[in-house]
Amino acid sequence: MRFRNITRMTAASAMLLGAISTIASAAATKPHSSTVAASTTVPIITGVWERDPSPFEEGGGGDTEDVPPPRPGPDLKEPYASRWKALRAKRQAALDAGKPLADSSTLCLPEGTPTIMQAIYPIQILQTPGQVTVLAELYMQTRRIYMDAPFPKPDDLEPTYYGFSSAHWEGDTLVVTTRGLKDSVQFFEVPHSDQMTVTERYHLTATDKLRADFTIDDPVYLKTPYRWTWRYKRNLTYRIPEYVCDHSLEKINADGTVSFEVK
Amino acid sequence: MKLSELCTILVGVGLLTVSLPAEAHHSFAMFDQTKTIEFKGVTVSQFQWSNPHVYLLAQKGNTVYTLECSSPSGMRGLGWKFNSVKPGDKVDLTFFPLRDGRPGGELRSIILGDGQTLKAW
Repeated sequence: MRFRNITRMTAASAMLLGAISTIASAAATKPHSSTVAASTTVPIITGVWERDPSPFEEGGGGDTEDVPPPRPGPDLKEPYASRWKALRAKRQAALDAGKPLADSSTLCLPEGTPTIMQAIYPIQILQTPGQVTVLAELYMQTRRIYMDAPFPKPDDLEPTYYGFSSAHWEGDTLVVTTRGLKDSVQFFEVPHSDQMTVTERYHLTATDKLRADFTIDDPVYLKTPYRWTWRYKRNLTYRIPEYVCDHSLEKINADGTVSFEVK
Repeated sequence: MKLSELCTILVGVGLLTVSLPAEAHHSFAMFDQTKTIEFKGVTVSQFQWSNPHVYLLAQKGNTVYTLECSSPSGMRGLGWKFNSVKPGDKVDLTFFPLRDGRPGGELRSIILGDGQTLKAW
């Protein structure tokens, strides 16, 4: 790295820290309020958040089960609905047979949007001028959400794991709209087109309680939008540790099943 | 900030418990959860504190067993540290064996040399 780049980074870091402290000090003067006074009027959602209840308490998640998709599940058009049900049944049958099928987590791939918000492990949300950033413990994922940003033209919207996210405040609700997700980034293996839009609405229901309402719209694959709600609680003491997924004992076999490798 | 305010905050932080979600990296279907195997006085040959899972290698006779644990995050919540176990330690173990009979499994609990019992999940 060149010295010039380090200088830039240092200046940027100083600006970022300054922005954070502005929000943090405002919050500190009014610790039990969901909003900050005067200069900033938006709720403070900066902090470390964990699901409440945990994703494992909402059904399934036993030792031989995967965490299930949020109810009621996707309302897919045919033939996609039948294909998706068959795929889920095949995965469960493989689990029951003791030969689980590989998935993106086998390769430690990023979860992408909106799965990162599932918060299997805690996530950290940072509000800085013009941006909301989500940092997940799992795989040390980074998701950037730009405030009031115009969407790129379709031809410039490169498909990515997290897509392009633009957000705005509607009163005390943060509304995030995301498009431009890769085909392979699928929420519980639900297929989607490049016309899919993910909308999230974040709202503090108490000082340290956050509610997020999700909607996936896709006129190509879905008959009706897929909607669900996740809730979170702020953890004031947890420090997110690093998570480098470099010691998996899993091996993907030619038939798509996963084996445990002994040393 | 006044010192008294700082003390109040620190006491409050100390009282809060940190709850961590369970591990969800992969399925455990390859382990036979209907069988529990116990080893007494086996020797640890490696303790790998890493993601997505911690694992421990234990030698019994001429065979090395690969035993998968939870993640570092999950294990911290169960009282483990990165240095809770070292190569050469004599320990007692219980684990769910691999269904296919190879020497390995899912570690359930360990009794350390000082008598301390730790769950691995």
